[in-house]
Amino acid sequence: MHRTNRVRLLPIFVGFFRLGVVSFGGGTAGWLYREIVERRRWINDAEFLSGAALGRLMPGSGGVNLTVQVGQILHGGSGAFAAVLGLLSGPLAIILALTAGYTTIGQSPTLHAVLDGVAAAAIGLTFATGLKLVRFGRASAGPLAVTAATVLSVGVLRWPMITVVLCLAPVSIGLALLDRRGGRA
Amino acid sequence: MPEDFRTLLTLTLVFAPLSLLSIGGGASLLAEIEHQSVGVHAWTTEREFANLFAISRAAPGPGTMLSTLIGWKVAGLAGALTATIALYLPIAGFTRRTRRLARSNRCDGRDLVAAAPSSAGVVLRRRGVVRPRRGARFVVT
Repeated sequence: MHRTNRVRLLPIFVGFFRLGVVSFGGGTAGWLYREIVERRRWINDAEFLSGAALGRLMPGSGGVNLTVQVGQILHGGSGAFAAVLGLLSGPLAIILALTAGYTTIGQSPTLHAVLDGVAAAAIGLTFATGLKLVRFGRASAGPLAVTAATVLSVGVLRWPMITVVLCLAPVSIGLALLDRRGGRA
Repeated sequence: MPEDFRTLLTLTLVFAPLSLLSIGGGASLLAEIEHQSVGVHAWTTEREFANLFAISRAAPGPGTMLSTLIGWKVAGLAGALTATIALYLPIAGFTRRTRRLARSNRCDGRDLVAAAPSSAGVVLRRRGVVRPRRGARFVVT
């Protein structure tokens, strides 16, 4: 099973550090494909696809999950660690520098305007992603009802998300199973 | 010192469980992170939260650097590192384990759907997105 140590740790760290710094606007998987599959040829398409599939399936950032798996393929557990460390440390440094800058000149009205603009755009983007996911869910009544219930209870009623998800997830799974069975019959 | 430690512990206790619920990416956590930071723990005001959110989105990298910024605001560098690790480490380990499990059972991408955690109710509905039918789909996302 251990077909490890395909690439040494330092190149892994450097490769993913680059990836982390250039991947503006999320979409880490796309950047990773370019940098790691096409440019460096460290993994092949099939490995990328199974990693991307599992990465999106698992909770958490799909990009980070994919990175964990690629690191694992390249150099086992320490490879996974090096890859994630590389991916996150660049953005971490940048973001802390930005925040430090923001705290020093925090009262500038121009800066506030800029941040408001960025926030508005980011909210729009998040909203669009949500809408796209709803569409992917093969818009039928059951899944839509679950989505609506989640939005209502977390977003409007402000119930704790963990409880809400733990209650609604079984309902959603049950509906999906029923839907599948109905479709087959 | 104990006070600092308590803050870091609270950060961990808030972000670590959330990481396991962030199905479909970090954006799904936004509402809860806001609720915890502004409402429950009063780590930031609403205004500050909006600013931190904007900064987290303006910087490169995989979306959810928001927790890092809140950690930074609450407890400096130690807080930033704690919040980041709390949000990413549990799920990184989880992904690694699932992948090894899938490999040792000779699953291909299609079977991975079955290996998903059962808490992921959304996932069943999204199996069309997840199934690796055509390469291009994943390259784009």
